[in-house]
Amino acid sequence: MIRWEKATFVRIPMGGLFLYSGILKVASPQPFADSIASFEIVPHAVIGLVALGLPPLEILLGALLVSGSRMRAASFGALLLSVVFGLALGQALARGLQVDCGCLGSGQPSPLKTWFSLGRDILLIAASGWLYITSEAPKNL
Amino acid sequence: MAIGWHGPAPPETSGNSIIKKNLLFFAVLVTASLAVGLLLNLFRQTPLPIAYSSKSARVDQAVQEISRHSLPPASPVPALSDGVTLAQFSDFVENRRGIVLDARYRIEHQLAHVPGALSLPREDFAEAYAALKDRLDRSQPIVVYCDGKDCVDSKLVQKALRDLGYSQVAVFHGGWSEWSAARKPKEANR
Repeated sequence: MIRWEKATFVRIPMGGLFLYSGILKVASPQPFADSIASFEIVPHAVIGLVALGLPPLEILLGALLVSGSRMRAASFGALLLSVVFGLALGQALARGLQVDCGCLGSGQPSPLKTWFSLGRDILLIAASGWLYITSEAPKNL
Repeated sequence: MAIGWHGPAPPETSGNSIIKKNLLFFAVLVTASLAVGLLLNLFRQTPLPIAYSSKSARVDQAVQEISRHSLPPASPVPALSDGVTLAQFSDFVENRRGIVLDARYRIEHQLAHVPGALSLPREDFAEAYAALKDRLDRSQPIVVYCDGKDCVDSKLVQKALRDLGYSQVAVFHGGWSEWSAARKPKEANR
């Protein structure tokens, strides 16, 4: 049974978002690879690896967050991932690149959408950071 | 009697150690995800190549593939202007002055498209072209559209068609977004 603590209201929507985002990308890796390429930070030789590996990682993290198991490690992973996404979006905006975020499926690039994605990412960083700090360290560590 | 270890409690774990453990766990997740991703890719109809090739490179490759099987004859028809405006495009569609092609993803086309438009997605160009080529007349003008002014798909399809010998190919730069914003008629595949 779910214990409805404060963290539950954060981890379930956040985990759901990670799950949704991961499933969308698993279903269509080529548009996601195009999105990654638009950021111009990942070498073309490994874009395929990132496009194939990142969606299952989001799904795993999302599943952990929703289920509430290994919360500290899951929120740490979500925090790391969100920081990386934030840096990628920030550098794209700073360089004036027309990027397709590809965060929740692929679409057409637009600066407004990129700013919106960055805002959402900052919320994710705050939420995962808060979850990491407030979740208890496992006793067996 | 309780069974278990009753020794002294383990010492409080330091912050560094916790971060190391979390990083290790994250590395395990990354490795597992990569393995799952690569495994799933093996079962895809069109596996994603590890080395990325750009949208335009993929369309060029599709054109080369098509040309290898049937070399297009040179067309004597003069080239249509590169782009058309909304008014020109509306006239083109309403008066059926030629062929309208939708370069967006097939699913987007199925949901809604410009009336009479045929789907020729940039993503699956080779397959879509093979299915459509009998309906494409080299003597007829063609207008291609995609999502809007920021999308490159219509331009890439225009270039591919020109490479295949269709000289009268223009792009409606405003694309689906301008067409929808102007509340023009739409059609959907059922």
